[in-house]
Amino acid sequence: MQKFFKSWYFKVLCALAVFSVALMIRAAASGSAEVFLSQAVSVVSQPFLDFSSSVTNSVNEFLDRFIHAEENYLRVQELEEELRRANEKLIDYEEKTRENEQLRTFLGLKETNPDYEFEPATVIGRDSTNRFYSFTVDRGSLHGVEKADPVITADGLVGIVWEVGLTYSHVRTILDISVEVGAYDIATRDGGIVTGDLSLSSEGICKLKYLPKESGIANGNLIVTSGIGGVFPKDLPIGRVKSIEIDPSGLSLAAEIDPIADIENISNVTIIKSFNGQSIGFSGSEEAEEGEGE
Amino acid sequence: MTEHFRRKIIKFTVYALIVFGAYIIQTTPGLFEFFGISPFLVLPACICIAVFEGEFAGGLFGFFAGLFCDSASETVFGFNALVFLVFCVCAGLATIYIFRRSTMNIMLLCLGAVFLRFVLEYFFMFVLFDYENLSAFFYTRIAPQIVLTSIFSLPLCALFRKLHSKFEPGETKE
Repeated sequence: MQKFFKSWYFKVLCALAVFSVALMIRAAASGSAEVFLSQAVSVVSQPFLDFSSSVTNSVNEFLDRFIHAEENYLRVQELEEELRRANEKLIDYEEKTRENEQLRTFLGLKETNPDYEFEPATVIGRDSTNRFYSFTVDRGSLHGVEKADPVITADGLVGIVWEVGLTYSHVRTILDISVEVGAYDIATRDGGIVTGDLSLSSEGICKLKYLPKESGIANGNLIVTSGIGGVFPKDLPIGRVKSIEIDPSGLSLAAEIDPIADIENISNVTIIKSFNGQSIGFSGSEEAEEGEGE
Repeated sequence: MTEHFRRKIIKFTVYALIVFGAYIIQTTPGLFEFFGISPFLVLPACICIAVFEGEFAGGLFGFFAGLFCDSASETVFGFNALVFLVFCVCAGLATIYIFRRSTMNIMLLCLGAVFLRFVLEYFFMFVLFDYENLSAFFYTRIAPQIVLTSIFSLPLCALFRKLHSKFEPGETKE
């Protein structure tokens, strides 16, 4: 042992110990370890630490899949259940929103037309083979729906109930060539019949026929129901004039009408079950099938 | 350059790499981490070097390894360098003059050194400042780390013994 304390090893080690103490004093005095040596050590070790950390993280992530497999499985099940409940709530919310929107529409229509009796309905089917966008709704005779009841949206007229089941109804739209609606231009008061057109229905356009040749109808004019005949209430918006031409017979004008209601993408409608003046001059389903015949 | 000298350079390079690896392991978050506690491997590694290579080599390794630990530690810079240096010199001298190089003795030396290092840190970093819940802190954070480090010291000790016998086949003393 004496030999060690007399050796230069001991002196070197003592010098290092004194150096360590000096480092400590300096670090304590400055309140920071950011001395040159500390920075030098960090520079050397940082790349290795970065690499080691990334490898460790990857390994831990991989192992976590197995270590926490059961926990994760339970969590997934829990989240799936939560998602299912959230989806149910969302559906309920959407339904409520739709109902709310419809009720607001009804309220507005009710205020202006207190005689209207509404039945909200949802489109539940649309046959892809039908060229005139007719559809099936979830309301039928059990809900008081009858044949030839008008079908509308908040925007305007959609069509007419064509066939009624107990809990469903088939609706034909104003794009259908078999549907005819008495209508007039609110600007000029000139009347005609709105009906579908084979060449235009695919574009979602219908036609206003039998306008007087001297009519002053213009593009953009609003066309509404005339109410004559008792199938449709008066003044339901139908659409706006898109273009005007002379009828092939040369005796009248015809106008292309762009419906206000988005008939191609409709999902919710309202059936008007009764209104003042309904069925005046309208005596049953046969007449409805033949159109309003105004 | 003689064969013996070249062998020594390779040996100490390998030791340095092991100590550096131990430093990387103990400072990498999540690596060998159990309930938020990581083993403190650099000090046992240096103690092993001191035991097998003598007090001077151990002291030098301890000093420089301590500087590395200081750069990552919350203690005052230089604390680990000083403590490692002193402990490694003591371990080296103890092996020369008092203990045999048995695995049990090396383990005891590692455990003692680690325990003292943590107690010193605990005293200078916490007790002196009279923080609250000191004993709970010691039993839940420091004591488990000492135990974990002791467990990890065993493979380190075996590794250094193997390396030493490989580089110094003539030395059979235990």
